Amino acid sequence: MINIPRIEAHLTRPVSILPLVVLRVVLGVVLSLSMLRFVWHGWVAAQYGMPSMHFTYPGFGWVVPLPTPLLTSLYLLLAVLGLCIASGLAYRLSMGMFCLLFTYTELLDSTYYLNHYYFISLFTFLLLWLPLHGSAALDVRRRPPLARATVPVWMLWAVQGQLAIVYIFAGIAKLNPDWLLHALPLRIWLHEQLGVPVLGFWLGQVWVAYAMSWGGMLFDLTIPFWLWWRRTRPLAYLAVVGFHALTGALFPIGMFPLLMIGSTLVFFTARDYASVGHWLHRALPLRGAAGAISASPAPLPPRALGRLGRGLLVAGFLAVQLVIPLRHWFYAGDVLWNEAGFRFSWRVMLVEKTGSAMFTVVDPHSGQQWQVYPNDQLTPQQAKQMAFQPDLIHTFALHLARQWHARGYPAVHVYADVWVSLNGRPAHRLVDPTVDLARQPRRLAAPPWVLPGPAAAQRGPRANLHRAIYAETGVSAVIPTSATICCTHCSMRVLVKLGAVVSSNAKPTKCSPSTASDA
Amino acid sequence: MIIPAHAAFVAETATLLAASEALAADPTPATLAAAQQAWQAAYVAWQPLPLSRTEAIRRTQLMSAINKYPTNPRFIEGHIASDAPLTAQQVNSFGATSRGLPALAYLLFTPSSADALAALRADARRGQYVVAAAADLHLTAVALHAFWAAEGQNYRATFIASDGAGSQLRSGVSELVNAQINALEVLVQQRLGKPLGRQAGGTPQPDQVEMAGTGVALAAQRATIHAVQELLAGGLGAYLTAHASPNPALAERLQAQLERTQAALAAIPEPLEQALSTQPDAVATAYAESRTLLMLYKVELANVLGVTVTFGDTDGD
Repeated sequence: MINIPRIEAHLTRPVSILPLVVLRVVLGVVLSLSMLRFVWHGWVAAQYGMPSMHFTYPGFGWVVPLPTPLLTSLYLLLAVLGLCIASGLAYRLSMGMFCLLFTYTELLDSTYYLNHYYFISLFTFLLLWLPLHGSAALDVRRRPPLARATVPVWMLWAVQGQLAIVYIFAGIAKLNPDWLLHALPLRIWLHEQLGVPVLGFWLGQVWVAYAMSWGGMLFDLTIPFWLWWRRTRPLAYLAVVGFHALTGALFPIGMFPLLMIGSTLVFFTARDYASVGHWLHRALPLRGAAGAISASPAPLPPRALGRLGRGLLVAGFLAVQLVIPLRHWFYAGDVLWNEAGFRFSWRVMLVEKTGSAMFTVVDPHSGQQWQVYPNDQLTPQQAKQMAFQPDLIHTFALHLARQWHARGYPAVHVYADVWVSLNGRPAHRLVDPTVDLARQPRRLAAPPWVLPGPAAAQRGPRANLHRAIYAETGVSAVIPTSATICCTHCSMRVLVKLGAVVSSNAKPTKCSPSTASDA
Repeated sequence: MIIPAHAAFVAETATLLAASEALAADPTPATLAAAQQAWQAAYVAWQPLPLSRTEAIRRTQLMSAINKYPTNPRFIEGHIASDAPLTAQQVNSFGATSRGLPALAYLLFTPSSADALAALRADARRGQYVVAAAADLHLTAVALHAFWAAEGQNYRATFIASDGAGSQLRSGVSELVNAQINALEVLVQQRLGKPLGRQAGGTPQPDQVEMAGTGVALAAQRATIHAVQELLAGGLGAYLTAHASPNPALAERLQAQLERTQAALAAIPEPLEQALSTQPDAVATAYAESRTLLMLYKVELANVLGVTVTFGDTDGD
């Protein structure tokens, strides 16, 4: 039988607030720098001011960008809020506003989605509910009753759990054949680094790519546990610093390394800090915080949500995150190819994908056709991201249909000619070019008009047929609709379904009952 | 291949300057034809240069001064009608739409050779503008060559050193591939797609042919493909072959597609303006082959090399 009081006592056991205070200070500074950097690079105008359309998220079409000067001001306000968070000034308001305003900027356009931006939204939302301003904060100076030396341990675990979710799901995402068996895409990326002083020679070695692939996977899957365990914590944190510093140096991943290096400091306990030395006590005005492990928690100030409600909110918040990254299990197809369930699932630096998309708008009444190149209407970043993400391709097709409707062509058909290369492989068609995308419904799962990718063609139920065709022809085309092919091996006529990979001038060399039944 | 191409362009602009001076001194059908031929040769020689348009080159704005299309006839006519001296230094101070190859094409070819000759005979300042623009073009070509050359600013050394410097956005290979993709996009969308009317409901648009009326469009397009072929043969192909990747036959496929594209362009009879109505299938075939070529470069080559297909510099993860 579950002993609720015992569990509650365990979860509410007081621990020093110091790790959370350190996190608040470091995170606030990193967030502030991150926002200033965004403005400094001129990305506000480039990402939100220049585009003629935005790829908003389903249900968030009403979220529109402010004029560029106002949006720039908003980013500067975010930078100020970051400093407020760091200093503990109006903490709840600062953290809440930061979460809200930053999430607003992320909702403006899904082509700018980054896992670490998503992390910032989640993390700031979580921290909003925790009293990180209970010590070494300007809030405490203004309102001394807010001061507290300890917090219930569940608060610390919630924050650590949020970080563990990021790492562990990033590790789970790496459990795929390309990453582990072919060292892809690291093999491609590292080959680009041959000119790096000293390291360049090693980065060009294939075995290094394998070692880094497996090492990265093991790091992600296990690092939270090494950080939790006190005996391995210092070494684990050094590994965190080394790992993120290396990836930050090799790849253009912005503030992500700094964000994680800073955030994982929360795994260090007050005891760890105390053992480091007394300098920290002098540097930070943490009255009694570091040594107050056994002290009882200060009474929580009254809140709209009670303690239980807040605990349940945080637990539910984290529980949902255990499901979201795995939602692609319920969708058909390869998530790396069709990207159904790709976002919000910590697939960090996981694939090398490039695409090329061209759209054809057809007016059925006049027979007129227009070919539309996305780079005529989109920014380079939007066009690049859209070219390999089916939901964005669909969004752009719908946008074109609306454009032509406004021009006096109310019922145009929109077709997409999209080719994508995944992890260095020859390009495959991503979208059935015969499907009128203007008349397709939006859906969360991979739509039927997304053609199977190279991996599916190699290991899917039609594997025999596909392997035969690969062997015979080396892959030359993807047929957009069903076709009947006569097998040269057994003369059986095989219906090849939508999107199968086939050569226009060759027939499969062998067949099998499984192939026929599949057809 | 890059620096010799720049040197060749310098030589062609010198020839064009000499022909322009001869034309201005004595505007006859023969001197006009010589100037037109020299312009055509310079325009064809120009085609390889945009394939090495890196960010550093872009910042010099020298390429814009050479080929900013379309030109602005109103500005040019205004300069001719004014009293200001027409020298290379003066033209150098004009906006890009009054300079370079497009401005000279306007003065030498439009609306027809006969009209251009008549205008040159009627107003000596027109001939002076031709000479000044040709001299300015030549000086710009020399400056661009000097930017690359070891005896000049030696950008060549910087470019080579930037290869694999740890940033995908700045690596030499990345910039070179991006420049080629950009040139092929322009070929597909602007140089073939627009005249074919692909963005105009399918109605051919002869007036959208590049440098319409000069008769050089197809030769220039073939020169672009030839330059891409040379870059592939001159090192990129070997780089790909040495690069262990899941796409081992890519270099051969690029080469084959380049040949198919070149053959399709060669099958179109000159001039392109006329072929749009007399041989639309041939033009459409060249367009289709160019698109396939673009896809191979933009999707497969960029993917194999891990090149970021954009000059933007956003974060990723």
